[in-house]
Amino acid sequence: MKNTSLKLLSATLLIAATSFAQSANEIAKKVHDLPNGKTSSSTISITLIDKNGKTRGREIASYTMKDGTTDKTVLVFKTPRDVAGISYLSYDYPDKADGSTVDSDSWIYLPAMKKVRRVSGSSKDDDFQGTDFTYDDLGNRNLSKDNFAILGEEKVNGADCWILEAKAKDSKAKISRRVSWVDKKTFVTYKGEYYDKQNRLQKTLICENIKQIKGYWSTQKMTMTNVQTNHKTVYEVKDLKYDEKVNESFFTVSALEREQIK
Amino acid sequence: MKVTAINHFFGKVGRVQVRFRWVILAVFFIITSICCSGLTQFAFYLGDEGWFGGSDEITINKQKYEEVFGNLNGVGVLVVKQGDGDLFSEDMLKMIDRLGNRLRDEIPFADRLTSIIEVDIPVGNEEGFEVKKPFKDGIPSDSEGLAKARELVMRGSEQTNALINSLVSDNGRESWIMLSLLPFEGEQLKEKFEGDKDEVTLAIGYKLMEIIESEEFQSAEYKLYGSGVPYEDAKEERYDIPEYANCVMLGFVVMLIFLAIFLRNIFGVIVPAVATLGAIASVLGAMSYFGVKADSTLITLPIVLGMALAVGYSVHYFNMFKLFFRRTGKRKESVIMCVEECGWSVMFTVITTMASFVSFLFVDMRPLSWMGKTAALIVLAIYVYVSVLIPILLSFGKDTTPDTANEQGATKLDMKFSAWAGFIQKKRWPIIIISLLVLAAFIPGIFKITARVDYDAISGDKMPYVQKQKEMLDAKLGNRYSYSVMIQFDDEGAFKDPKNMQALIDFEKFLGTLSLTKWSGGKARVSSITSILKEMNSALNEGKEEFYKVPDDEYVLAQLMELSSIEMRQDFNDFMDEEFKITTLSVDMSRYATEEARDNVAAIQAKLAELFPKAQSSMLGDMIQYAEMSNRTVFGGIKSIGFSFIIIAMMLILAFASIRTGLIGMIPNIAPVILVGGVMGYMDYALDFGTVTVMPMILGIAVDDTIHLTTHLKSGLEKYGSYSVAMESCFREIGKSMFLTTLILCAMFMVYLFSPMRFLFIVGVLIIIGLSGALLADYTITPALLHAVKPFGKERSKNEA
Repeated sequence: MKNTSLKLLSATLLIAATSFAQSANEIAKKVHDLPNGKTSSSTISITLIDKNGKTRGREIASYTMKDGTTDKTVLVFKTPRDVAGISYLSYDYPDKADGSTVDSDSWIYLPAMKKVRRVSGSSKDDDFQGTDFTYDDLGNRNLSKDNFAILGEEKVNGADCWILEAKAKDSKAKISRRVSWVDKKTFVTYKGEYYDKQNRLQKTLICENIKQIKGYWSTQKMTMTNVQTNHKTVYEVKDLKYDEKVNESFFTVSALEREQIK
Repeated sequence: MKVTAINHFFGKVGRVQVRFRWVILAVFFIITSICCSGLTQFAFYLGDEGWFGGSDEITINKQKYEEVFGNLNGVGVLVVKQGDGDLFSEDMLKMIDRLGNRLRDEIPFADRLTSIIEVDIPVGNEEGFEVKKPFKDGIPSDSEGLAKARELVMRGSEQTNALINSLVSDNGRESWIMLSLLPFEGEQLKEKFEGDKDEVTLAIGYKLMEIIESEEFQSAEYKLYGSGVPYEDAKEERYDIPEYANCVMLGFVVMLIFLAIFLRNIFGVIVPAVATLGAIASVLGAMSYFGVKADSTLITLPIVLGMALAVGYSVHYFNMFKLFFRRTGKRKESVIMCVEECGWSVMFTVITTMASFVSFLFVDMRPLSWMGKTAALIVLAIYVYVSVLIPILLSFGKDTTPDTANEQGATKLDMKFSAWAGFIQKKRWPIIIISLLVLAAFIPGIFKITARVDYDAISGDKMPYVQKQKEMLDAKLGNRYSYSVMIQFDDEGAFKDPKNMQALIDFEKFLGTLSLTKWSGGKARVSSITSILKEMNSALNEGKEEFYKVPDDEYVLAQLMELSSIEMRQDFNDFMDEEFKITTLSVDMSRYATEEARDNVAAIQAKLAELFPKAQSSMLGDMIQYAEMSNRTVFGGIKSIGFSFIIIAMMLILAFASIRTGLIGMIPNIAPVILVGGVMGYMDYALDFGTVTVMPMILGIAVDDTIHLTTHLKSGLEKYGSYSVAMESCFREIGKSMFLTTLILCAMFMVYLFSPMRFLFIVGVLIIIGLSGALLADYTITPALLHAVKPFGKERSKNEA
């Protein structure tokens, strides 16, 4: 009798745990798969704020397009004066079936040197353009890299959110744990916390100005604060347009060289 | 000043002490308990941090630096391969990887790790450039993979590869594992360290020690050497503080032995011992209660001195009590008479000793002002505890029958002292001349005194970690001291101007020419933003060596800097602020030498003024800190000697109500100071924060015997009318006790001679020389001078007497 009760209890717990895990994974997948258009264009305004409150701004013109399974991106610096014209082109490829990543192809153009140089070797956990964001923070991190769990539920700015935890499987990952507050209805992230290898809070993310543009949920202002260094980056997306025709030739090395993209 | 009136007052005090003894004991018990409760908050200032106050320029510069560039301090481990081969074997690389991971994962406030495993290498090729991680796919186990990784890390030469002879030696046998630290602030500081940044530093240092000393990293294949301020501070606490504790314990044992010898009863040992401990614990407890941190290096001085003086005061009170108790047999009356007799004379010596320590309060150095304050308070507390508790505790017990047989009478030794006084008077001029010649011989030595305040110089060779330190310094990459120079323009983007960048390059080259700059192979260990710019420029130009330079075209330079700040933000921000107007250079030093450091600092300041006339610049770190510390030690020493000289002279003048007598009284007290100064110069005992305390201290203690001598001579003169008779009587009465008090003090400070800490040993030697010199002066030049000068007026004729 005792044995049967124990078995029953274990089975119940196992089912509960499994369904919980499944639902965490499902939420993570829905967040990951949020649609964002075939093409987009915008102006990205980046403001770096140091611990003393000094600010430094950069403006970047951004163009993206999906070419089959390849995501192509062109970034052109507009300000400040000394970086104006520096352009990046990158081709990001989908991960392999086993979950391993495929290195992206990137090029940089420096107007002062009149040269396009191929850049390789940078990793997704590197800083995005010298900000407090990493490429992973702004892009779609591969789901196979993390174990997901739901830590609870909470309201953020009036929206009912799941508190979703993503623990990195790689013990050497710079960020060991990400906690995001995900809107139960839209699966858009409202805020986030990032923990370092020692499980100390390293960065906090606040998402604002979340709107539907052409049916795509878009976050137009993100503030990432490194609480360990008190450095902050405000990332704002302006003039965001989806699914409008963009010049495909923008996404070529020769377009960079000709300084064709403005 | 009428001594009888003062004694009468102390007699009243004695009466009150006896009458209200239980109340006084209760009050003392309560006060002591409250003060001692503060000991739970007792903490040390470690390292050199405690040297500079919050408003000090060095502290302000450090704060400025940390606001821009983050934590100035980091920790590192130097790995040195032993036996054959180099570090690029599978086992060695795995060890470096494991060690790096443990540092990053376990050390509080860990930020970025840099090692040959964790390094980004921008490599240029015909197409562009690639940021390579030599061990991105793990550490290879095949020789081909290992050779490839080695080739990547060690590519080019030290002139074209920033890593060679900086992160890794050119023979591949030495390498640094460096961990930068986050600013000590935020939740972690509050929650884990209760907001105490010193605790963070210590925790980091101890964790580093724990990791490199763990079983996992013990091997004959390599040696590990820890480095960084937190590591040094933890070492100081681990090795030095037990040494200080040993000194205090040994001092306490010596104190008990002396009390047992002189007082020869258990009560006479326990009561002064308890009073001494109570006084010292109360002062340290009360100071801790008010948040005053103790200075670890100087903590023993006030304690050992306090114990020595406690023995002296106790012996004084006990002997005086015994004298009256033998005469009268009445305990309480004897106690009152004892207080009446001893109260003023002991108190006056207390005041002069305190005055010499108060002189340190005028010195702009926190450890010395702490020591002065603490020593003065301990001396006062010892006096209060001994003069209040001993008479009260002596008042308990039965009366006895008077012993008139032993009431008076001098011993053989007393008579010899008396005869010595006669001899001195006869030979007073030869003695004065010989004394002056001896002192003159010591004067040139004073001008040879140098200052050495760096940690290694004061620790000496006998400390267990010093040999390891030396081994590290002998290594190609090993270094112990470093400093940084921060250059700040007002205008944004100032360093994008090729002229300013060229000035920075010239300044970097100049730093390499300084005598104290460490060189590894053919490379000066100067780090700056230029190495990042050179690497980036070369990488953007197909990796060609001829482009391993900072571009001089304004547009190219500006864009390269912007690009570097984007692509290598963290490395870039270690050396340049986000507005490109503040930069820093860091320099590793081969060794520390005071005079050279002062010269180097002066040369750097002149060069900065020449190259960057429109910028503000500041220096931080070991070189400027030690140079400043040695300057302050020298000037502080002069100041405190000057102050104590003036204060004590004024007190003597007041005490004798005569400027002439007061100043004459000072002469024999300068003698031991000259003696100590001469010995320091001739023996190359440099001024440091220990030795700088010796001269004012000697002045304060030596003056006690001069006061006794002069007072006795004066009263003898009033009694006998003749200087000769008065002097002989004076020596008969106090010659022996002067010897005994000096013996007690010397024996107490002799505990320093057993310390492996070099500076404590030297302090011990100098105090013993100084006190012995003072006694010698009081046996020779003082009576000779008093007899020659006759400060108390003419002798009376025999008839008058």
